[in-house]
Amino acid sequence: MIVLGVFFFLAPAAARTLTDQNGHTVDVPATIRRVIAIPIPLASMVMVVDGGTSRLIGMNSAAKSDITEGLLGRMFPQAAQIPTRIAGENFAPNAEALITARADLVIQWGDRGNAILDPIRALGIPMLTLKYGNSVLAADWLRLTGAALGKPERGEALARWFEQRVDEIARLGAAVPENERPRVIYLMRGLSTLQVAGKGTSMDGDIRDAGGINPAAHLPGAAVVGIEQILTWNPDIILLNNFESGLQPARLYADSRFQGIKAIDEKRVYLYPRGGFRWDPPSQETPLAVEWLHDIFHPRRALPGLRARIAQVYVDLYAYRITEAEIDEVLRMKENGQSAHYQTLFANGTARP
Amino acid sequence: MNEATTHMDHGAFAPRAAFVHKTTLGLLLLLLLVIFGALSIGRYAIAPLDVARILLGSGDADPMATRVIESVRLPRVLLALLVGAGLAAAGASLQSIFRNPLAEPQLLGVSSGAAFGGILALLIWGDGLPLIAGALVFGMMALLAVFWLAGGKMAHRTGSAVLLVLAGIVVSGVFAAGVSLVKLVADPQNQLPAIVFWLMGSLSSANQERLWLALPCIGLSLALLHGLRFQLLALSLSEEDARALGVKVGPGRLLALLAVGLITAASVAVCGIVGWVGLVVPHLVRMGLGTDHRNFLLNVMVGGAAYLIVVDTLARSAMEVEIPLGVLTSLLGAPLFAFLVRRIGHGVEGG
Repeated sequence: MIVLGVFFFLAPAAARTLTDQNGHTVDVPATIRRVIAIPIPLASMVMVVDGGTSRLIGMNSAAKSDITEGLLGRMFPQAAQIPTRIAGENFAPNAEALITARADLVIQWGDRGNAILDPIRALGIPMLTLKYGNSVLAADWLRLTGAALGKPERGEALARWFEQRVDEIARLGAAVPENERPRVIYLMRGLSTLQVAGKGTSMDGDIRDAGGINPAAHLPGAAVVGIEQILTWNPDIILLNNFESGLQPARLYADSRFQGIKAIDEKRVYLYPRGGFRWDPPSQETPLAVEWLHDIFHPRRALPGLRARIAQVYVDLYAYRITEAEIDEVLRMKENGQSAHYQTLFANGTARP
Repeated sequence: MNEATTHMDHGAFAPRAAFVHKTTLGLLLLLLLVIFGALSIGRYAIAPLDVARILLGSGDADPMATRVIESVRLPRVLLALLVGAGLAAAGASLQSIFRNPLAEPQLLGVSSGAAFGGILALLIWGDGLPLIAGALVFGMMALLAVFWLAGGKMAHRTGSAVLLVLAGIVVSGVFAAGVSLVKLVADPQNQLPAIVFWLMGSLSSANQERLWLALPCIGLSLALLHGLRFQLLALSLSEEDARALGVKVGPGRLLALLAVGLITAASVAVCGIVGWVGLVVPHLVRMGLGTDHRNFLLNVMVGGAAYLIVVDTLARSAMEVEIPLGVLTSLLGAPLFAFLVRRIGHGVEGG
């Protein structure tokens, strides 16, 4: 009976053919009612492109914290009801759950091996696969999502805005003379194990685009290093991840192991902001993230008006009117307030359009 | 009682007793050299002369170098010393107790228990002190479970060693499954990476706090094992022979097992699962210094300390990226042990 049910749902003739990020051609049914988004940023991205949660019937459990802790839950209150038990550890989908969910489109990572793709292929459910790497790939996620959901104009417009804005800031970053570029590391983990972003991570690309130098750029991916290696790099700025609860600049300023590093002496440790999504990994908010990086890397060349831009972008992306207090939350004014230049750059009232 | 017997025994070999002391002294000297070497090597370049100056406390050293030595390298080297000595002595003791050259601390299921407790605490309360406490509590619980499964009076029964090993396998299996289960429900972005790193074993988060936690657990256990060295020696013969020598096997064995459990749990707590040390070091010592057991345990402790300090120095300075210590001890330990096994095999055939 279940098999028949699935067959019935797959029966409508494919109306469109899309090519996904890994070069697979995917036949997508004319109308899509039920979408499952397994990559973590894609849950909020489907909401952004579709303007709501009604078609999103499954997402990664890790996306839940953006709804319960982040702003996303306030932007889309119904998002709390979206089931999360569709895929387990390492994005591996549960075949029975997929059948029960009667999805007519699954969005999945395409560059993490076949083990997470085969169960979906075996059921014959149309699947769009994405690639991880440079942040700009996320513009294509918007474009693909729009095309698949039957809103190609919306997807295209968002993707264009994304690419143009990141490109503008990358130009500004490229124009900064070599000797004025700060040396910046991103701590993917910083509480006990120290892990920095190296080659192939989106953060490495973002640091470069914003006019910084990542001394770990030659290391493979997420590299575990010792504190001595960080002392040897002696970075000007340290960026903190949004994933470890309790990690914030004050913690590093007080940590005896980090003393003597330039970023600590000059108080240039910053916790990444978090809005509808975390700003460190790629998402629809990446253009804002790259601008924020550019401002803290080059306070004297900072672009005025990030707060106003956040407010405008949140209307465009989420149709959400953000309050000044919420912008403070997004920018982590509380955690970053003691760090150098932060109040001058981003405190409420300093923004001039 | 037994000490008297053994001492009388020693009396006949007075000149060799002096030799034994010399080898221990030699090993201690080697350990000091290794410690100094380890303090001089690292990603942050400090000249050995400056290291000496900093250690002697002369004030004109570079403050950054002083900090690197004092708050980065010293706690890490000392923790490696403690864990290395502990795991090696634990291995040697288990080999005596079970009269089996392949016995190892992981055998009793304590490592798995401690690993489970650690990640459970990590999941519920987060990194740091809760993790260490969780590992200790569950490690000791695993040990108690093994004792209970093997039967309270196991110490006096023949074949009890086999029973203990079987109980260890059962407890190990249960906790290993528990570890997989916790990994399954952990948040893949926030908690899972922390769990995976910790399970791989590393001394990179060594600090004074962890040192002070490991010191009493491992230090007391080592002292206990040292005090029991003659019982352990007697146990390595056979239960009958041990009784014939007037050694009461039961309490000594129980105490030694407790010490081994505490060492293993404390090691897992402060640096994750670091395997093979308890297997490789006692055999290296046996091969290098013979099977004379009078100072054997002491030699194993010193040798284990030196071994782990060397391996950990490699782990933190061979590449820009930190190599997980547990990976390195397995990578070095397995082939080294294979080589030893072949040497021993040839020795048996030849002799």
